Amino acid sequence: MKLVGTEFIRTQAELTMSLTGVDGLMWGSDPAFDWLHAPIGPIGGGSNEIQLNILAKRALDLPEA
Amino acid sequence: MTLVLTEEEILLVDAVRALLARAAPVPKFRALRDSGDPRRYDPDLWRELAVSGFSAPQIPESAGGLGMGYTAAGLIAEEMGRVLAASPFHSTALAAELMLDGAKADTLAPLIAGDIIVAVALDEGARHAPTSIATRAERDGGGFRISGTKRRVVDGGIADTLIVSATTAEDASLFQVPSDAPGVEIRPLDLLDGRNAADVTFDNVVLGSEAVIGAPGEAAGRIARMLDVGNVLLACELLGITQEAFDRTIAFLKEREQFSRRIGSFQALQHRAARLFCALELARGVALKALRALDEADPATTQLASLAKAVLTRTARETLNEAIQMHGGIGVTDELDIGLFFKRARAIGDWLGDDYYHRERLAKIVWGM
Repeated sequence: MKLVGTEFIRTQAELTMSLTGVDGLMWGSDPAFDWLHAPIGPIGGGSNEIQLNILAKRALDLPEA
Repeated sequence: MTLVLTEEEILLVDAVRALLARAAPVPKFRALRDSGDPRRYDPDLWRELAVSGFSAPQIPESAGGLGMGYTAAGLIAEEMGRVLAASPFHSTALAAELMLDGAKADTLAPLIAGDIIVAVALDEGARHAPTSIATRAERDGGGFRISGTKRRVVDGGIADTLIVSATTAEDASLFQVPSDAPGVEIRPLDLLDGRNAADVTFDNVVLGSEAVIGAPGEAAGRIARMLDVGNVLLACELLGITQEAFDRTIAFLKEREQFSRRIGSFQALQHRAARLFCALELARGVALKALRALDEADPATTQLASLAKAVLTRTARETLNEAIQMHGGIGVTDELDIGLFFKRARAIGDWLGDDYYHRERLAKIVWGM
């Protein structure tokens, strides 16, 4: 959930920036707010790299390095 | 021309890099941003670049320039990207391009010398659409009367002169307008990259016939050429930004420890870094190819310009996202410079058309879609 969700939100924020052009590039605009906060998702609360590790070990039962 | 730099070009890069390292390191831009200076550029730096011949090196000798070619200009733009140098370099290149071939020689000379700033007022909507021009120029006695609103005029807040595209009875035309002319209203924009830009409204601005650049109705070719040059130079700045962010990320991977190992020792991160390296090397080749095309008047220049802007906008976005992710929590803080590169890349990737715009344009040019 966290892995896919946070990456989806980042892609969505980028597309919104592209669609809104200079309006989204302004400080204080909604697209700018979302885009500037989007990178926090994949890092915070156990980064997506950690989520991938958990999936590899728990869901796929892959061996340790 | 080969896709490696000549000895002369390498010397140029060294000279520009040395000047910028001294006069415009990244903390200088950060200080400018934090100062709230409404000009949002560094006049001392711009003067020094002009004196050194780095402000518009591409202008041919026949037009009073140095004749160093577009490749020289692109290499300078790349170095400026690496340090986020705040200067009206791109707006100067756009304006100069419109005035080559003898039109407005009296404006071109001080522009090349760095004595005046000229901004180009082209787009009217939030997204790039250079051929939809609602701004009208009506005949008025011997001259013209212009009305319309332009969006995102880069360096519009510091320009002495504006060059505005408007539709006349003939077709698309270009006019030179003093920024303090009656009826010109300039509204500064607070953009994410912290650089100068404004929306500009022209309300019944009266101009003499000498304000026309070239001939009325004949601006389309001039604008198209300007956009080719502008997009290639922006691609070069994106290359510099991306390379710098990548280099800083690699340095971070080598130094940062987690789980009592340096994070650069994790194979998952090594592979991601190696992929970015490949993308960046390819993008560098595309940018240089487009610069050589401008210098050699290659018939494929327009498509190479779109290709360069599309590739660099996307490579910059993907690399900057990875740079932030690999830096982790510290990557999203204002304290770290990565965020400044991230915002600048987004802003200039969007200016004169982003990767979506240029991919669509390429499809039209190459396959007639």
